[in-house]
Amino acid sequence: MKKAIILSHKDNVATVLEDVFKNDDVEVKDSEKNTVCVLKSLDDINRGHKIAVKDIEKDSHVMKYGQIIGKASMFIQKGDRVHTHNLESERGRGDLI
Amino acid sequence: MKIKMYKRPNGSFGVRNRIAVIPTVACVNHVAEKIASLVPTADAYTHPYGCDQLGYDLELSFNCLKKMGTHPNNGAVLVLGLCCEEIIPKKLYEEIKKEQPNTELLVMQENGGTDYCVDLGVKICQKFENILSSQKRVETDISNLTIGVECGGSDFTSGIASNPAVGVFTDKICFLGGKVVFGETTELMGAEGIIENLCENKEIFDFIKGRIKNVEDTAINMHVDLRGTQPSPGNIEGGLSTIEEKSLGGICKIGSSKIVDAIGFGQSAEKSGVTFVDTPGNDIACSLGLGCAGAQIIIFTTGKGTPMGFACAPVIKVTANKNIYNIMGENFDLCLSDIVDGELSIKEGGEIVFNKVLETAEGTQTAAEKLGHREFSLYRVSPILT
Repeated sequence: MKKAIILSHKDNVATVLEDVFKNDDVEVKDSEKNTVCVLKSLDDINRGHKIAVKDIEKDSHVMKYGQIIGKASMFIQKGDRVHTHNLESERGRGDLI
Repeated sequence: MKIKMYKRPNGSFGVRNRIAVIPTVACVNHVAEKIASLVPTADAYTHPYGCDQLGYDLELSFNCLKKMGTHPNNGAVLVLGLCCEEIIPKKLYEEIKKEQPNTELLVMQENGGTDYCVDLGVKICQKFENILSSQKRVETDISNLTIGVECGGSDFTSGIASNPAVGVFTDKICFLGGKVVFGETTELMGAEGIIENLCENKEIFDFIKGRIKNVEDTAINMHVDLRGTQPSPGNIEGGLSTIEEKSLGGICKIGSSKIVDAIGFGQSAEKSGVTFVDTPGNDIACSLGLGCAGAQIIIFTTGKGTPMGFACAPVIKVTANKNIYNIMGENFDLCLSDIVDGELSIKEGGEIVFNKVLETAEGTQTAAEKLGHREFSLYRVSPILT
């Protein structure tokens, strides 16, 4: 079982603490080491990168630290890798003006 | 709590007793570097500016060099000028001398060429070394410490482990009456919700929010996507997807302490507790801003690894990424990767940081100091017009 940490119960992503491969089972624990959920990874995910712990609709917020870290640029399924390909910043976007 | 530091004539306390060789213009950098290379306790504060500067930009550069000259970690100063630059050597010398009696001036156009001025500069610094070697540390309260907290080359470990451990340190030193300064305005973007709760009053939060907006508006007016540099390619490789995510990890450095003041670049932190300084995220410019604010030591967390030190303050390098520690180990003072592995608590990590700061304050050299990393630059705020 691979390990991941979730920093707030409001979060919809967790950080994987070791390299994860597609179809690996991932145990998500909180900062107090309580198991929050176990999910199947749908992607290869590098150590330190994020995995979705819930389905995230396109344009809805991605949450980490209990705060908004950006919005989903496409539908993200529980178990998907979450990074720049499907999560985008909403700040300092002069390119959109 | 008591620690031993050097008492300065202006009432401040230093953790080091160095000689600052301060060029007023880039043209004399080589002479400054040669002098410093021949005197073990001297540092060359070289920078690319001093000439073709106007208005606020010139004023800021002058003020930052003055702050370096009067910095408590320096026990003596040699101002090295050419003499045709806008940063007037004599004026800088006089301003520093008011607070630091061990200050001398050497102007090349009035004295001689490279070799002659290197010889003369070395003689002046050797005289300073004799004076400084007889000075002893005195016992003083820990509340006389100002610690800069900064991060660079962040990755996923920064927000999970090293920054929260530094946050525990921040809470402890503030409880003991010390000061903590933090900057990196760009890298607060997205963390406004947390900052608002930490600010002691609305004026402080409005100041910080306004400075963050300035950076964001600049990106927007330039029609650039901040994502080109924020997060940087290295941050992205390290697992950080957006500036918001990077900022929320970065703000953990100030723990749960109240932000009691907010100041501009080049100003001094005056109050016990946490003070925000408006600095860029750029590591060397941020270090300068924190040094000008009075930081005698800078704690620098990094997940990707960086060797950089700073001229006026020992830099304590902290990582929680064991992979980079295995590659660049000699550049680090602390590796807190056990927090990531669940074998060390964040609180225990904070205690380790606290002990490292005390040890550094009383004279133990940091990794960057041992390796000779004493980087410096000025922060230029206007384009070169002339």
